Amino acid sequence: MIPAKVDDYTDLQKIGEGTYGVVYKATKISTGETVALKDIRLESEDEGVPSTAIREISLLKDLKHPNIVRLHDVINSDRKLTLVFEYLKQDLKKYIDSCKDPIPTRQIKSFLYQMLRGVAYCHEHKVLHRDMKPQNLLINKKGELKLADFGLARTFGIPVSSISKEVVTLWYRPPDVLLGNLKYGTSIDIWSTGCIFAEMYIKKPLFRGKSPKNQLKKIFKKMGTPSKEAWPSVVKLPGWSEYNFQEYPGKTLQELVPTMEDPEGFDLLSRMLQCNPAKRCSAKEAMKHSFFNDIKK
Amino acid sequence: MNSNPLKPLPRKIPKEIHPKKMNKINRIKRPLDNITNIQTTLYENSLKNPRIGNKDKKGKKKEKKIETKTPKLIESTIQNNSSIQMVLTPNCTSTISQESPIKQKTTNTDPSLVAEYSEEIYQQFLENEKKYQPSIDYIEETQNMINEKMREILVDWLIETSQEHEFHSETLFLAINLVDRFLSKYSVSKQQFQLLGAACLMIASKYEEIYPPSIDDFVYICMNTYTKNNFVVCETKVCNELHFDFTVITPIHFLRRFLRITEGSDLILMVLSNYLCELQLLDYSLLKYPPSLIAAAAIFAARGILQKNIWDPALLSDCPYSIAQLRTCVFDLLRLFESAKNSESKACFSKYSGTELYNVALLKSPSLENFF
Ligand SMILES: Nc1ncnc2c1ncn2[C@@H]1O[C@H](COP(=O)(O)OP(=O)(O)OP(=O)(O)O)[C@@H](O)[C@H]1O
Ligand SMILES: [Mg+2]
Repeated sequence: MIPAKVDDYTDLQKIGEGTYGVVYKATKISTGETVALKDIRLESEDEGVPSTAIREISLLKDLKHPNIVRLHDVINSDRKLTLVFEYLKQDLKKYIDSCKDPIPTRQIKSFLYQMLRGVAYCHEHKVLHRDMKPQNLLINKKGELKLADFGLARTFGIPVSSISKEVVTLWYRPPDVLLGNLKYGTSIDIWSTGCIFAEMYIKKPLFRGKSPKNQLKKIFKKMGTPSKEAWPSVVKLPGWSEYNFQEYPGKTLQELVPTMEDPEGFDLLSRMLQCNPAKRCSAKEAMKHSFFNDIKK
Repeated sequence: MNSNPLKPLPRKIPKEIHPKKMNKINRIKRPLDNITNIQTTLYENSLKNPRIGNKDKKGKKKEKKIETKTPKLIESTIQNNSSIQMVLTPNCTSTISQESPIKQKTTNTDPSLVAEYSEEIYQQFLENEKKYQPSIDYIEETQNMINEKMREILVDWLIETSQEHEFHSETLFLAINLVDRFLSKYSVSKQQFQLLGAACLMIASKYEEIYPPSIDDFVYICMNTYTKNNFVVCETKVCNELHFDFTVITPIHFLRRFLRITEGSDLILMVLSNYLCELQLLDYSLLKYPPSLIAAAAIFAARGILQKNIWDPALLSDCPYSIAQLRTCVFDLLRLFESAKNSESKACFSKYSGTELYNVALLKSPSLENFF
């Protein structure tokens, strides 16, 4: 097999800039196929291949699913690493921003279902995504949605107590992790997915905090400060006594997401946005929820 | 013939040795005179290697220290206190104090293990365990300069280095898998052999660890035998040749599950079966066994050593092997267990001879008749 080269691609157009590189749209000369190239600069690192890239590549190579972005190739040469992905037209963030009217419920349902299917597949393969947010979800004209950006993903073989807490963009980070829970598991991705679910209705992030403490306050003001009865182990988390939040009563989901209307939707959302991670539903359970009864699966 | 794969390294005293490390060096007693010069150097290298740069990054240094007194796997395997049961055998003198970190750790159930996905994950492990395995005869087929003994010395050094850096078991197993897979494809010179081992350990630590050491640390681990650029080039080569296929299933993945299944699972059994899995890494001839077989056989062998009912029916029905299929692998592990007591490759044996790990390496071998 001839190794792929950057020269095999033409028509590069910059479409995004991430934390560790630039993303281009490009055409593969031999096939005319449109691809996305994610360039990872190595010279700035001087640490060889970044661990985020090592994980993203090796995890994505083994995750083959219609709701997960396909990694076609890796070009690793001369102080530069380029990942060749299938190209999708847009990320969900840009899509939400571009919609002037409310997003139709059918569309939201379909996106959410696909998100959950991708997440369930990851979890079945012992992989946590850990960075679910609209910018990292890609959609195309056919209405397909795929999970992308596995830079923070990792397998959960290692006892979770030793997993890093520097995960998930603040606005999508679950309260238990914000309070210092290092023993998180699959539930981390469900909270983020719940936040995105609501965001598709209200078209802005549900909880927009400025710091971990402020983020928690935003969450508790809206969802209600969890009680020790509902979440007994919360008192053991380091942030709980440190921050000592007042007891906010919280609002109803109807107030928070007024455009949702569908009672099934509220029920599902409430199961995903449980502050207590043990009570949060799994992706597999969420997929079986009656909210999805009327969509093609 | 010179069987030492690693060229003599400069006997240079590292600039700064952490005082705590110094103690450790003095504490560990090994029959240095009996080992070849090179091994001695290697041994000292890995011991004297200070943990550069890790200290500040590891904010949780204290907590981590406690955890490492027991293999990482224990913590996630025991589900609750009631399943901990001490087994005292003549050679095993230590007991667990009330304040044992293990006990405290185990009261919280590990969410990653009780997750409803455990069945799917196990099935997927079984399906994929053979996907990224080395060839089982690469020394004969591919290598010109590397032999079994040299591989053993390198693995021993990797075990020791991993222990020094408090890496997870996953990191060690992955690193050795990468070395074997690379050697299955390319012939490597003696001079480059240690570089390959260290670079694979670096890649594995980037994949598994939260705070992987820097390249400078690895240069230092190898006593400046190789440059930073040597590491970058070697890493790129390994990544490319192995196509970044680093999501590898190792015996450790299965061991966690099997230990939960097996009846009367206790700390000693866990430590001992972990030890047997690590010992197996040293022996090239055992590459022929798939990871799930190694893990299951390690538990049955450990049960034998601990004089429990060997062929536990619960584990037999959960693992995909019959007694007949397991027996040769169990015997191989028991042979290793016995020979480790007199082997020149000491890293694994010394680690598991300490009281922190209940001296499991010193236990008496069972009579093979018990296995029939
Ligand atoms: N396959 C693709 N097709 C189309 N656009 C893509 C593709 N992959 C990424 N993008 C665009 O590029 C952006 C950055 O990509 P990605 O999230 O993978 O990079 P990153 O460096 O990890 O970013 P960050 O760390 O900021 O999240 C995405 O938000 C998306 O808009
Ligand atoms: Mg991104």
